[in-house]
Amino acid sequence: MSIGHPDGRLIVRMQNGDVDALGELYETYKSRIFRTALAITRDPGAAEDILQETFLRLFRCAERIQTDVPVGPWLYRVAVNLSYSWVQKRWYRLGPLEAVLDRLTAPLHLLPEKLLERGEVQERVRLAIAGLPLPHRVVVVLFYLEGLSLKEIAEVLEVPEGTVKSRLHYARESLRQMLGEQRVLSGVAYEFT
Amino acid sequence: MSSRNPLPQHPLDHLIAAALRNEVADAEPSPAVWKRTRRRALSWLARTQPHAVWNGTTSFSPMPLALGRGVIALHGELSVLRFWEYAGMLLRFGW
Repeated sequence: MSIGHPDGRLIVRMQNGDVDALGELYETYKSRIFRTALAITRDPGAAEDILQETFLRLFRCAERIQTDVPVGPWLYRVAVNLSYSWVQKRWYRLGPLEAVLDRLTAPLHLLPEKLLERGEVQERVRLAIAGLPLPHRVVVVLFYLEGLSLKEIAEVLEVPEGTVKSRLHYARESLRQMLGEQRVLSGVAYEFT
Repeated sequence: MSSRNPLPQHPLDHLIAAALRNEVADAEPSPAVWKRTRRRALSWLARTQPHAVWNGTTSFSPMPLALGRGVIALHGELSVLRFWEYAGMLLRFGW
């Protein structure tokens, strides 16, 4: 097996039971994986558990990991799947949330003028993202927060690139409608011009 | 992963990116996460390679375990580690 990437050398060491090699990969990727899990679950405790489980699975599956490509996509894939599981289990535990979500994602034009300040706007955007369907939210996090390309997201999620593009498009449209585009964007346009 | 997409230039895209960054950009896991991860990795190694011993650098040497009290003490410690590991997994993931 060829070792064409620095991560590959650490994978080979892990295959020989070297936990220090796992530690080096952990230091390299921990922040990205943790932030991704946190942005999806919005729960710091869950994000830490997901981070831990992701790297444990890396160690246990080291024999099957490719050594000629970066291990990042594999880590993202596992973390996203674990985040999915956590969110879905939480929904089952808490019961229907439609009423709560409706309240949290009320269009901005229904809010008093004084609440349209930058901090409030960002909070509304965050809540609107949290209200997206989970598959759309995941794509939004990977694209806007982690800066992955559509191709990379497709590799992480193991879906066609067209599916990623479609989910991103519908996520943006949903956010635009939830946020009431004209109201929000006219309020902050000066920051970006 | 090395690529960072330049964001589309619509204000909505900047708003989404800024909101996500401000929410989690400074977030870091606690140091305890690595300690737990390392402990469980070592526990898994001991279970899957029961006839090996750890050397000082935590990598494995293919040496047989010592007999007598050394074996009992090692298995006792691993049993405790296993208990906490399974208890933790049950609490966190329902397994």
